[in-house]
Amino acid sequence: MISKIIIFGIVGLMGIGIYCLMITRNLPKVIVALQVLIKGAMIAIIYAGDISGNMDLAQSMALTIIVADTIVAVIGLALAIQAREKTGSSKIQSISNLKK
Amino acid sequence: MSLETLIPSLILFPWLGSILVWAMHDRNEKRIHMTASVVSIICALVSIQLTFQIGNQKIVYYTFGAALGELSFSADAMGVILVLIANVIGSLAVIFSMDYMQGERNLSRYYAMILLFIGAMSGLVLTANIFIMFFFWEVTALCSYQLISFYNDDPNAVRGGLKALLMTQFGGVGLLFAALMIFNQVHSFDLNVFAEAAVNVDIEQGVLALIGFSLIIAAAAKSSQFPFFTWLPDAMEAPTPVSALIHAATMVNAGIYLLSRFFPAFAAVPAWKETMIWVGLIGILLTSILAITTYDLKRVLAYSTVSQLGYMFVAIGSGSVLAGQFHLLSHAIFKALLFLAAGAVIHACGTRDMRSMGGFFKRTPFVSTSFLIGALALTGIPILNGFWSKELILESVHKESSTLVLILMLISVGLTAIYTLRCFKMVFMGKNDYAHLHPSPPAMKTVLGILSIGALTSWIAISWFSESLKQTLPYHAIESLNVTEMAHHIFSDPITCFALGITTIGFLIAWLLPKKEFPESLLKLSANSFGFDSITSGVVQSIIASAERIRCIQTGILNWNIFGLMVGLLGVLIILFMGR
Amino acid sequence: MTFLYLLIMAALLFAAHKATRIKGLLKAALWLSGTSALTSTLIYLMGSPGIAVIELSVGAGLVTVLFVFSISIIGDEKITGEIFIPKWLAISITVVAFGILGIMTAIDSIPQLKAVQAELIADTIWVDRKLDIDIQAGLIISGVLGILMIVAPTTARWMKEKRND
Repeated sequence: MISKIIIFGIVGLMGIGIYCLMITRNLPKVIVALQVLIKGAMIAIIYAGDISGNMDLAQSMALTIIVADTIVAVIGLALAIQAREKTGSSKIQSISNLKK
Repeated sequence: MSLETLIPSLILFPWLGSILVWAMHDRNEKRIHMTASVVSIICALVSIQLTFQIGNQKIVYYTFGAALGELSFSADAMGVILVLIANVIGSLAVIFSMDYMQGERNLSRYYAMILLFIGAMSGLVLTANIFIMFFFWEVTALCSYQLISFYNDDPNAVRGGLKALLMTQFGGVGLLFAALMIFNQVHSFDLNVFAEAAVNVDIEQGVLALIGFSLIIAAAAKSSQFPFFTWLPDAMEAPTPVSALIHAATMVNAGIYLLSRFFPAFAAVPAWKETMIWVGLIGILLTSILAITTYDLKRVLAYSTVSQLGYMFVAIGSGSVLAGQFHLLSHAIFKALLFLAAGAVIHACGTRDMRSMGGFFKRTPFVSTSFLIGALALTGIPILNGFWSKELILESVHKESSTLVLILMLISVGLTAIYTLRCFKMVFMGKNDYAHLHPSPPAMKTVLGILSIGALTSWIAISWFSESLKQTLPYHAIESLNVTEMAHHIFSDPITCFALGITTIGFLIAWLLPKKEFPESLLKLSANSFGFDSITSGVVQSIIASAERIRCIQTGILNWNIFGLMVGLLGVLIILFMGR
Repeated sequence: MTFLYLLIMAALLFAAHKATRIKGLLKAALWLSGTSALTSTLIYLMGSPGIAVIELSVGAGLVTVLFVFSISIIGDEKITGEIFIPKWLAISITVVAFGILGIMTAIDSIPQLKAVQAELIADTIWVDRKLDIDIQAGLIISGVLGILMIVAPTTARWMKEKRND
């Protein structure tokens, strides 16, 4: 039963993240959605490590995921700030305008 | 020097020279000319040194760690002869360029690409690893493209270069496919492992046929054969020494080399040899007719290159690798001579249109004589090198192939005579008043002299040539010949008399051909390569059009990208769900 | 135990939903930190306290701080203009795809969670997964650069004001 709950949670988190990515047009919101998505992935990794008995491997991968996910958030926010400074908007499209 | 140092120096030394020349940045023109020629002459000397290593059957391995694995090189006669051609004719072309390219801009790029090409060509024919061969194969394609488009402010040159690059990519894809299939079958990129497996029938016949035919595609694209032959005439926008080196003597031979090398592996594949014969034959006939109807001096030579490469295809298809390789050597020498002599003519009068040429024989006797020697070798007049190799091919066709092939080959011999004499007549005979002709400088004359001597005498090497091929290529069933045996072979075959008679008839027709121009419609058709050009551009246009049509799905909007991702996920899930 | 999992999972999904759908970036950031904290609890329950601690400190702590700081610079902008994908389409494709995924996983007999307690084993990280560490080092360097990029505009403005004074 617990396994089913966890699977349901993973699928739910990913679904919420993907849905938000599909309809949002605000760059900070995109980062929030990515964070939610990655949380789901991380739980999945830990779960897989547990049921396959490879907890060490799963933990070290989860650690990498945490680092990567934080960096993604940092870079995304930096881009949002730069886009805001340069174009006056934090729309996702404004990043494309940064190169001009 | 030992084999272990000779092989890498033949590849890396010209590449180092190329970097050196590239770094010179056109600052001092004379120094660039000098550096390039010194590097290429040293390469030529090293390549001559390599010929003494024939018979040293060692395969040299260089280990490059886990990622690259072992790079294997071997020096068998087939590779060494092409190395010799590439380096010696390469150095002659570079020396010729010293005069021909005088005062041009971007010389460092020009010489850097030529030296890069020479090194890559040596690597291509010396390696025994098909994946490394693919690497060098693509480097030569890159150099060819770069040098065709050398005058990059001329739209024709850029177009010709792109066309050559795109069409030879078919060859690259074919070779890559064959390499991957070979790896799939024998779990090694080593050519010798594959050859052994193929000869011992360890590979399934269907797979072997697939590899064989993809290699024919690779060779036909690289050697500019039917149906890919349209890129070579357009490649004539390149500077003439480049045409002589890359598009006559070396790179276009890579396809022939590939087929000769793999010949024993596929000889038993049904229809493989026949395909080769017919690919060659159609190319020969089409381009011979095209050569008669064009007025551009370099295009005539390009068409004749295609048709001579077709002869080599037919030779290999008839099972005589020796005849093919021998014709390759002869052709490399006399076609380089023809191109360089044509280059001297173009340098003198500044145009490529034969209609505005004429009367060169009196004005520049040396250049004209060397062109004449090349032309006679091309038509196969006795004692010139082209005669011997062409008769060897005809003899093997007579022995192995059907009468129809033989008759068509004899017709093509006549056509060769017609276009060669027509071209010679238009350029060198008759009258024309040139107010000003550039004289031919000494370096050009030296190069032409060396090549003329080569065209007159290279056939004497047949006994060394056949002996070393026989020694180093045990699977190819090559018989060794010496000069008297070869003469006996050729003169006892009635085909020789036929061929000479047809050549004479061809000369007569060309001589009596009226001077007036061909009708406009025919010229248009020949400029279009009998419609093959339209097919090519049609393919290109349709690809561009379809790309234009589907570009609207690339919105660059994140939401749509994620949506597409989800659609993909859904597809995968549905497939998984169905497969349960 | 099952009830605890159920409770945390429900809270987690609710927090995630709120984080993505709520109006106002600041509130979204706070809900996100809640999501992170709940994830961390879940991981702790699943037997990885080390990872749980790191997730809590980095995910709920550092990222939230950065979010709040950035939002103070960007401001809360209401995006108007074209909506690219209609909501019903987005919802239906998400529900269908993840529904199939969930059903497919649930139909199979899922191995039971053992929830064995595992320590963060130093050997695994420093010896067996050296590549991971190298990658993380690279990532952290780019993260530092990112943080510099975040504070750059504010610092520049501050320096300019100081010079003008």
